[in-house]
Amino acid sequence: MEWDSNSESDMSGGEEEEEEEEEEGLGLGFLLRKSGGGQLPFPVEALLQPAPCGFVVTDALEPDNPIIYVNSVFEMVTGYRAEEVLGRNCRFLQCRGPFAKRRHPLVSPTIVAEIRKCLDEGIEFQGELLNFRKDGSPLMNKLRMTPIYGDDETITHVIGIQVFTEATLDLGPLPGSSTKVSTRAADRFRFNVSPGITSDGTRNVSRSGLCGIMQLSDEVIALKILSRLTPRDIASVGSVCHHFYELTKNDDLWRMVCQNAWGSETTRVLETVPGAKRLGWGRLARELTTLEAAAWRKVIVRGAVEPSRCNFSVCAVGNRVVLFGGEGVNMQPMNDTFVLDLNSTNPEWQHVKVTSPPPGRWGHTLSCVNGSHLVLFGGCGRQGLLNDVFVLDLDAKQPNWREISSLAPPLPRSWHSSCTLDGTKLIVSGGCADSGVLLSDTFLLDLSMEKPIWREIPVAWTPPSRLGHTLSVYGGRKILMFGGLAKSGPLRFRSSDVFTMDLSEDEPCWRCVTGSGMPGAGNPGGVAPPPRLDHVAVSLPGGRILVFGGSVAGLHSASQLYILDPTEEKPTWRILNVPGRPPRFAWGHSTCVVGGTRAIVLGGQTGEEWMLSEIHELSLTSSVI
Amino acid sequence: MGKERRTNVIPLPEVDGVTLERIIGFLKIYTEESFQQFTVQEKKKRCDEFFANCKFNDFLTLASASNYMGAQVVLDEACQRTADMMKNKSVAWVRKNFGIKNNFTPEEEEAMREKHEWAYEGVDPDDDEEDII
Repeated sequence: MEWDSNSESDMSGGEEEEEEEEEEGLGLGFLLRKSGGGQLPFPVEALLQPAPCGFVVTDALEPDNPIIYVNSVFEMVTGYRAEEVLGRNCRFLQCRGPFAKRRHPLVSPTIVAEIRKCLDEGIEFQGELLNFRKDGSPLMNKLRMTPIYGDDETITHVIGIQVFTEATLDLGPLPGSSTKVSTRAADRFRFNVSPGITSDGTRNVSRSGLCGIMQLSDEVIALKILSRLTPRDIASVGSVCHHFYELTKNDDLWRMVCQNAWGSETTRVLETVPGAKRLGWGRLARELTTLEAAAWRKVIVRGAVEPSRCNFSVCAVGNRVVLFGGEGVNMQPMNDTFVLDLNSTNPEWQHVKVTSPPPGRWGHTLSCVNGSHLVLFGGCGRQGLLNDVFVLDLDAKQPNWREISSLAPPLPRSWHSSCTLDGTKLIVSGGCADSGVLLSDTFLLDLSMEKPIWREIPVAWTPPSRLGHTLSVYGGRKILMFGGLAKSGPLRFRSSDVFTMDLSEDEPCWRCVTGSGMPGAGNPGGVAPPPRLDHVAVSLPGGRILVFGGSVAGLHSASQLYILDPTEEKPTWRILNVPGRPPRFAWGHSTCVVGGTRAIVLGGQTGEEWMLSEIHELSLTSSVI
Repeated sequence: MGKERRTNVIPLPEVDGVTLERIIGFLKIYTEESFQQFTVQEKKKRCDEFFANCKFNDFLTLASASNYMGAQVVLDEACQRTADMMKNKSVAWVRKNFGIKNNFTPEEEEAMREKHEWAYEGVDPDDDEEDII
């Protein structure tokens, strides 16, 4: 095809640029996404309108006219992505929402019959029809359908051009729609669709949202460009001009920014916190970047965890804190499960009745996977060290612990560390094995599989073996190991070393994190936390790690907060000063992070008695009650 | 329409020749089978090579044109590169390179700077000699 600048099309507007390209053998079809590939052998220019219209091509030679191409305006306005609609007939737009099977009663059957008639007779159709977006909201579709004839006078394709406008109809909520938030921010990030051509016939490709000389629509600027910037950038871009200010006020844009900057797992967790939604993503992004609203507070709860115990494990699922096991007053391993719902107005410890609990233990790990599941691993039981895996679905009607048996589990151990990758994979490392030997291995268990299998992560070099260290996930698929009681020759010392591993690499390996410290120093520079074990490490959105608590050598305070950004060029420890009264003690095994924004410290005032009715909470964001 | 035969001419008033050539060129690379076999790093390298002499303005034009034409992969690539170039740049830089006039009053601007002080820390210094446009 030739790109000819002297056309006789009915395209209005005088600003045609010169195109003097000659591209042999390339048609518009080459540039259009098409399921079959190849050229579209028909003229299209008469059909291109100078307005943001939906553009659909169907294959008339296949039964029921399946869609073979939709343009991005179609995608953006209807909310359906190309992958979802290719191969289907367009009539799904007459159904309200993606699950409806029948045409909505308000869609005019007369018009539909007319479309049918035109298609049968092979003539053009023009008319207006009620359609629906994927989220069920109504659209008026000014539709023009044109059959395209092939060489032998049979219709090979049908082209549909849609000019969408909002339909003022109150249809009520979509039947069966839940309050679950759409994961596609673009579905919600809708702009008012402008009518096609203005009254004086001039082009109206973009709306009044023009920016300088660029004919970029708001959709492209916001959804495609701004959403890829960091929270800091968006905040500063807001002061470029009034128009950008308006764009950056949109909370859905902020949500996309947070998701792109922090990952979808982090944003998913943040969404489970009701207060976070009320704050809005803009404020959340700011507070989690600057930590300006971080504060310690005390929370009093009711109920009791009885019999009393120490060395239990806690983990949060959404806003619920789950506690399992521990060591009783007679050193006997416990096997009961308790839950504390921080969502309720008067949170109260409640015993969870399960049919068959796992064997009692202490020094085990509890981690959250697959949304609402808890996975229990290892620990020291009545008959020695354990390496079994149990999973509990907290959202089940009758929550029960279920054992996951797998070949080649890691050595039985206690005081190891664990973390969850991608929300589905349990990672376990180090700990103390039989006869007190310290371990340095790293194992992975993929709990999204039907039959999970333990897999050791093979590495050429490991950091010195240790127990009581922490593993934190940052930057998607990287883990950071900090502290612990580490082996050093025949001795053991508290450590403040930092090691990282990138699990997205083909051959992951442990790396020392060096900073602006002394030459040859293996540690990040800055004010490093005193060496410790059984401390708390909180992963902050954006990749930073917050460390406090634990068993600290000497007279150092355990409640001082330290923060490290391993993604910096020269990672440096910094001290974070936070208002409010911190707990005197904070142990890793009895602290958990709720909704990515609150660290709940149990038993922090004394180090001995377990007063689980008084909780210290480090809140990273403002609380909006 | 219909049975009439027309010349296969498609005028694209929104797209200039250079940009069109870039779009077609990139799509050619993208649809090559060998390209699809590349790792993420190799793909990035190949795309970097292709866009090596594009300036910021070129990416904006590319985004606009590929949006109009519905060439999704080019649009994504152009927007990602636009965003990458914008990262950590000053407000003045963004104005200059988007060709935007500042329509805030000095008081408004001052108020915004104060409100979003956190956003202005550690911003890359503007390089006045750099010819981005």
